[in-house]
Amino acid sequence: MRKFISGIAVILLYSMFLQAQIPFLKELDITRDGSSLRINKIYQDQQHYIWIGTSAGLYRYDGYNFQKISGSDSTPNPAVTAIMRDRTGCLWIGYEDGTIMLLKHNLLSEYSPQEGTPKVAITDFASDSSGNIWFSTYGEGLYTLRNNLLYNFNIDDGLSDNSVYALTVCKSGEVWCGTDVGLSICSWKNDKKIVERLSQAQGLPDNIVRTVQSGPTGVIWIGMQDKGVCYYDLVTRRFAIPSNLQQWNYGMVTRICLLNPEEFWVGTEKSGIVDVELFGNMRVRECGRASGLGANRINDILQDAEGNIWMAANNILLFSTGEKLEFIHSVNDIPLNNIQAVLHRKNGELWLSTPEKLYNVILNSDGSRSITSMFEKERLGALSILCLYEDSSGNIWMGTFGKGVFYYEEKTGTLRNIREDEGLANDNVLSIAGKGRDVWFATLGGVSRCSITSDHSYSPLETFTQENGLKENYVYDVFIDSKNRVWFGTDGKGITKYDNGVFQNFCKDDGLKSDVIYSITEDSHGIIWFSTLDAGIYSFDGKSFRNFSLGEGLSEIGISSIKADDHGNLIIVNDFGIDVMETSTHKFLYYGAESGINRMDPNLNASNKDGDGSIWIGTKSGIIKVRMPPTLPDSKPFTVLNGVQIFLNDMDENQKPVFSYKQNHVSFDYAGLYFSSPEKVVYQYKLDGYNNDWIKTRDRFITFPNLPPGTYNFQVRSALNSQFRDASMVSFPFTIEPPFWKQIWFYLLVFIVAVSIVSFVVKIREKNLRRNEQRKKEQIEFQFETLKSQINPHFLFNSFNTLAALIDENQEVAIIYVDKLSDFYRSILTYKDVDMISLKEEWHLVTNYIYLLQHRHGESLRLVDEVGEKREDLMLPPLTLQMLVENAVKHNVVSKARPLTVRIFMKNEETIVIENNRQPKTQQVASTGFGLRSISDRFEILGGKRITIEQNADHYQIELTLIKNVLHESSYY
Amino acid sequence: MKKIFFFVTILTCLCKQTRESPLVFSCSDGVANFFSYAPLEIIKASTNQVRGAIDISTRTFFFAISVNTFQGFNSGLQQEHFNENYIESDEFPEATFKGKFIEEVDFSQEGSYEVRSKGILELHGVKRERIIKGMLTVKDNTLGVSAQFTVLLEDHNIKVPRVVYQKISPEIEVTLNAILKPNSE
Repeated sequence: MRKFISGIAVILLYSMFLQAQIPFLKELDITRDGSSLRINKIYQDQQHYIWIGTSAGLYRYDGYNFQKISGSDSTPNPAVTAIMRDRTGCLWIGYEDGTIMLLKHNLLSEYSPQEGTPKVAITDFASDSSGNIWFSTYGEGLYTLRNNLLYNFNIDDGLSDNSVYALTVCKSGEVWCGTDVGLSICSWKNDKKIVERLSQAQGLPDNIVRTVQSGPTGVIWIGMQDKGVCYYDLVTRRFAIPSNLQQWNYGMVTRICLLNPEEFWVGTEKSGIVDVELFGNMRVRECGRASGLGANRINDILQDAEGNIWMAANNILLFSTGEKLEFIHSVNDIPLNNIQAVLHRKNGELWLSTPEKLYNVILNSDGSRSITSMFEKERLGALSILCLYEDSSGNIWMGTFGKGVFYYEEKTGTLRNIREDEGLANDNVLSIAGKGRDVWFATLGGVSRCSITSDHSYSPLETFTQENGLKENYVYDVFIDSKNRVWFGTDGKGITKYDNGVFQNFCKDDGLKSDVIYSITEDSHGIIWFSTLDAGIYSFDGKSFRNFSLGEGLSEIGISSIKADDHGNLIIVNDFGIDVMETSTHKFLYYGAESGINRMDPNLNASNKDGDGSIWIGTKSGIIKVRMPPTLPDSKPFTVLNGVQIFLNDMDENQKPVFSYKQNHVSFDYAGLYFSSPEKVVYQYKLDGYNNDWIKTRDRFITFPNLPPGTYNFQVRSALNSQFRDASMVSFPFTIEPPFWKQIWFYLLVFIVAVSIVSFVVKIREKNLRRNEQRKKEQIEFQFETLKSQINPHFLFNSFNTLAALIDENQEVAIIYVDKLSDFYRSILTYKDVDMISLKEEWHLVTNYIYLLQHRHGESLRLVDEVGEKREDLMLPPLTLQMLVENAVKHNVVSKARPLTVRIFMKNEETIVIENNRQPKTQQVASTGFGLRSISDRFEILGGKRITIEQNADHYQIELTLIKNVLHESSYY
Repeated sequence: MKKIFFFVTILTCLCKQTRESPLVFSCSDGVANFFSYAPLEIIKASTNQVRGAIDISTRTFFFAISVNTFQGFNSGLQQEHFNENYIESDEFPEATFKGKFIEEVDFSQEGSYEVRSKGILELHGVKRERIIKGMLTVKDNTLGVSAQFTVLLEDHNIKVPRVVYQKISPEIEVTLNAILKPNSE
């Protein structure tokens, strides 16, 4: 769904219609491209949104803005002719061209069943008791969606006509259709279509039925072309026209809106709205035309959940708080300004006093009003009458400022003035009340009482002042309750009760916050209510006082009068509007500017309750009649979440509310739908997971920037006058996901990787340690073996023999021999703790060894050196080569006839080969094989390759891959 | 069969009364296909022996299919099952749809029109009222008809054993194409 508000101007026109007593109407104008749109349909869904079908598409109204609902830019906007919400929450929208659109989860989509859609205008929708959808067309009859198949009812099935104007579903589930040729009642019975027809033959007054409306009391209301309104009683199966509506002069009926069992509004083609009040058995109490609408055609009427009434008057949307408030601003061009006192008499006359005049307004039988100025001759009006009272005999008592009380006996036409000299406490009379034969006067000098006598006169006055029991002489209001107790509201001394000759006073000492009491009344449960100067209102149940002020839901504390109606409500009048309080629930409703009340500055106690229980209030600019319905409408705003935005872009409604860490700029667009007075709505919001306190605001949009990752729950509630206790609330739980590196799986992954790295390192280290240990062990073993072999007595014996021979032959050589021998042994000692030595060093050692051997073996042992340069960067474990040479000598025959040749050469850069010709001794020398294995192991431990041995019949060859020392200079020293 | 001959005869009689332009169009070689898209098997079958008639003066029509003329099953066994177990073509040899067009169509103007028809679909002996959307093509003094719709087996009391649910869709898709020519005397 795309939303845009541009191009729509909302013009609020406060129409103050003169002349007639009509409810306040507010005009709302939806314009596009400068021209007003024709309004065809008004509908309210369960979320309380008002949907408006116009000549150019669908609009949604939330009390603040009209939002155009459109699928896409290219979608044409034909006129909307029908709207309905089905059980599943889907909104069905029918258009003039036969198109049907569905709005679900704010997504607009075309309804396109395989059966195709009508080619003519959709006129109405209905949902029957089984939840099946019905829609009527202008030309193709009626369609119904049943078990996912679309069926048609038309003339061929017995329908009165193919052009159906309106649908309604009666209590038993049948669908009633209004056509040009009577009514058709359609239903299914055992999979068969059933159509019953009703027309003039059955008593229908007019065959052209424009609208049908099923009533709660088992009747179908029928709006006709010429004959107005009739009803069909489902029990007696008869048509009837309510009495007084037999003569219908208002033209074609377009719509009937049932407000409550006693009242309905009729929309007409030429005469606007006709208001019909019923009582008893379908008799019309009052039928008046709301003439302020002019000759407007009414296309649709809707009563919303708050009881407000919406009217589509061609191209204006009219809004009214309904019958609750009615205004009389003037009668016959005489403005009713600065009303000081109001009296609705038992005979229906309305007496009003202004500072200059006393008027009598009479409602004539034709609905018009006439006005007369009373007591012109006596110039009574100019005396500024402050209070009016009609006693039980129909005599009028009038209190003035400075001129005492005037008593008017209507039967004889006598007028008498009662002044201080006749016993009146004071000539400034602020309030008069009475019960039975008693009449009480509240003045600025105490209170007085008299009784009406049987001869239409009155007894002598009895006065109470500060001297004889009254606490305070300044008395604003006097009230007599159902238990015949008399209550006085005083200026500065609280409230005083007079019961059986005893005065009892309640003031600040008794817990009241204010001692100035302006107005007193009693509700239907016998509880006394009174208003104060600046502390709101109090209730008194006979035992204790209870205060209701701004915090409890009162909108203003400057209260001028308080009156209880017959339905358990208090009507509380202040300078700016009217609070209505349901005394059983302490629920407050407010009527202010939205309801048509401009600043009214009412006079003190300028209000009166009439015989019907309506309250009449005099204001600066006329009279307001307040008549609350038997049950108060829903007075709470209904909270809705219009949308959620991420970085101010609308969130896809179907998306799961899980955002990435980058989508952390979240905005909420919400509203508290309360059409009676949107400006009174205040909000509280809270974002669980961010801030746990409710924050009060008047804004309807809130943004949370830079939200850290986490789980949140946005909650918003709306209320009037901060009464958030039972407020309607919406919530939007959502999650901002942490970036991947802060998510649990990532932590786990990191942990696993770290653990495996550590364990790997530990393993390697363990392996190294083990290998080192092994090497150490091998080295020790090798050293032991080497030493063992070198101090092998055989070697020493041979060496010493050689030496002995040399001493004889050549002493110089002998000395060299001893040198070499000792050098050899020193080398063994030097290298015993060293892991590796360079090839050069090893070679030196081997040379010494060979020298020693050669002196013994002479020419029989030959060493062929083909190594070339003895590199220092090639390493090997010490005594390796020596041992291999020793092995060769040990295992082979060394003789002059078969000399042993040991050839040492480099196979490649790093591989050294020790090769000897193979001539094994006949008697094998015992060999442990330790030497070769030990060399091989040591090479491996030091990170080299194992040695390889190749032998054939002639040769024995051992390959050693030397270890390259990167550092060149060995660090093993 | 009797029904259609009766119907056509009546229409022909009507036609004979006004000679200027043909009022009744008919055919006997229309093509109908049906498709069953089940998870485990796709079944398609067709017939080219659809008979039909349209009376343009009353916007009424009649189409009939001999159900045992459907060919093109996946196997001979399947065709046998179709005829014997499901559609029971011996007992209910004909599937018919007769009714009336909802929209007014100017048959004198060549062109294609989307029309919806409301009528009774009879299949497997069960009559159901249906609205079927289709295209009517007026061209060269012929009427082309094409339509596509679905049939719920359950609606027509055609029972599919639970075992073969995976092989036969509960919703069968049907297409119909026919060119109707004016009835000659």
